[in-house]
Amino acid sequence: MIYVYAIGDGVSRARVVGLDGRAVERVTEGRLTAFVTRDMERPPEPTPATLGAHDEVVMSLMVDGAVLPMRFGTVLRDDADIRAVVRDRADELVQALDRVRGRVELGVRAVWRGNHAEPPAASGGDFLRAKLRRRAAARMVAAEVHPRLAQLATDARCSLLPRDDTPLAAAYLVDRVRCGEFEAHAAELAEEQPDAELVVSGPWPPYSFSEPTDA
Amino acid sequence: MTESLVRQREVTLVDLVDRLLGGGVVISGDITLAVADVDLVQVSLRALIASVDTVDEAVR
Repeated sequence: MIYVYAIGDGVSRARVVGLDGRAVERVTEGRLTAFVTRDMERPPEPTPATLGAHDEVVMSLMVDGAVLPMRFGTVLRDDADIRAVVRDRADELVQALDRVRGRVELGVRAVWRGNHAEPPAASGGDFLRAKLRRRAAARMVAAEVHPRLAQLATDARCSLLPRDDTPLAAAYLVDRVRCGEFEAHAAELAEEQPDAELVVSGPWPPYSFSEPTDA
Repeated sequence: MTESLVRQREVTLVDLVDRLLGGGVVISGDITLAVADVDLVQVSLRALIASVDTVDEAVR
C-alpha cells in the first residue's frame, strides 16, 4: 500500500525522509504531485512520533511550493489509485492550492484561567449553571478575539468550546509575511482577556484550509 | 514569528492531534484502504495529552 502525505504543485526534487525513516517519493499526475511512501505494510498507528513525522514531511515540502496536507493515516492501494484521485479532483485541488499559496496556518487556542477551569461540582443545578456560565464566557472570548484576528487572515475557522477546558480553538490562514504582525496582535489581545489565556501555535501547513468549502 | 520559525516552532500534542486527525484533504470512498479512526485515536491520544503537552521530545 501507499501512504499519502500531501498533494502539491512544487517541482523540487529535495530528499525528504518520511514515516519510519522511509523515502518520500513523488507521483505526478498532470500539474499536480502527490507525495507518498510506497510499500507500506500497514497503515501507521497514530502516535506522537508518527503524527510528528507526517507533519514534518508536509512542513519540509512547503518550502518548495504550495501543498495541501492529507488527513493523517491516508493509505491507498497503489500509484494508480492516487493518480485517479488527483485526476478526478484536479480542479478543486488546484483552486485550494492557489488559496493557500504563500500562506501558513496559525492556530489560536484559548484556555481558561481562574475559576472557569474548575470542574463544576455538587448538585445537578450547579453543574448546569457552571456549564452555561462557561458557554457565555467562551462566547465573550470568541467575540473579542476572533474577528480581530480574522482581519489579519485571508480565511479563518473558529470552533467554540470544543472541549470543556478550551473556550476557543481557531485557525487562521495568514500570508507568510504577516505572521509577525499576527503574533504581535494576538499577544496584545491575550493581555486584554480576563478569563482566558491565548496559545498561538504554528506556523502549520494549511490543515484547516485544505477542503474546498466546509466553511 | 518569521520564516526561521518554520523549523523552530514548538509543536504541542493537542494542536497536532486536532489538525492531523481533524483537518487535511480527505479521500472518501472505497479507494481509501485506511484513514485513522478519529474517534478511537482521539480517545487514546487525549489520555496522553493529559500527561504531556509538548511533543518535541517524542518527535525528535
